[in-house]
Amino acid sequence: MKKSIILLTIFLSFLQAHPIVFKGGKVIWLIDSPNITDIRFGKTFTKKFYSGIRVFNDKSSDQSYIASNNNLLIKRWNHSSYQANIYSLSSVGLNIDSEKSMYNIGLHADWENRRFMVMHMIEYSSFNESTKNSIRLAFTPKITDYKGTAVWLIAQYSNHSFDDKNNEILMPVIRILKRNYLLEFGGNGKETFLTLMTHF
Amino acid sequence: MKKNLLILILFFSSLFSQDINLEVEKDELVVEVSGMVCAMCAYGIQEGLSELSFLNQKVYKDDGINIDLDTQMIYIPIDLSKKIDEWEAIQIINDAGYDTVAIYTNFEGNKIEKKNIPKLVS
Repeated sequence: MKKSIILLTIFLSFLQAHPIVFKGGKVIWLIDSPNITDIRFGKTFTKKFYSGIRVFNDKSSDQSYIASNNNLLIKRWNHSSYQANIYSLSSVGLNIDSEKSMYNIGLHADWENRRFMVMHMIEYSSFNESTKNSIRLAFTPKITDYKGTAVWLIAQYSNHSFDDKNNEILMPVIRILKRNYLLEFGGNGKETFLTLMTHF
Repeated sequence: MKKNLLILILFFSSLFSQDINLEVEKDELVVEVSGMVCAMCAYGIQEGLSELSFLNQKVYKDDGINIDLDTQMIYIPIDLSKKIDEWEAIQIINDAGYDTVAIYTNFEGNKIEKKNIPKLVS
């Protein structure tokens, strides 16, 4: 059964994706959130498919994992004033210490124009049998041109369910974008959140 | 009645299909795209088009091209001594995840020509 799940996940991995950038584009990505510290490196092989590697630490169990990370752009809507996307996400890998297998699957949907952004992500992780729901509502007070530095203000809500516990976190996040660099920093007095990302 | 309605529709559609006030140099391609709302995402277009075989890199130096997010236009300076393949530019923009709407040229210097690009099936 477990083998079937792993095989299914590997199969899904090849149908999956997340930040898909541009064909040939490479991404380095660091996330430090209340639940996880995650470092990723990958490449967008086609305009719809990203594949890479990630090393992450689950803070609740203090266990570290190495996994392949594969994402797929399921659908994109390009319009003169907005873009919307649906991605599937997946990872399959091993616990670094015990070599126990793990997988992670999810869906990511977003809509954005030059002033507002809405995002919803749902993920299931096998290593702690958890489900995570994340919602982001964002706006930028000043619309900038292509070369400018864009600042976005984000309200981020996440609901993390595992071990019969339900951990809800509401956090304001500031996002700064300059060309191919992204920095996000958030904090709510108890927890902090950081994302650094570049593509090239 | 039907005829009048048709004339009215054609009249209004011609109003809305008026080309935007656009300046196009003789040695330039201007590409109208859709979905280009984020500068970081549009970076892929710049990266891709910087490899364009007929790009004139002297105009925008390291940037190679000029992107206007307000109008969804990409300005590509071209080297007229090379073979101009508009499809190459369209394909690169499509690979970056965007749809091309139209391409504008002014090779004669006095007449802007617009070609509508059908949406590529992906």
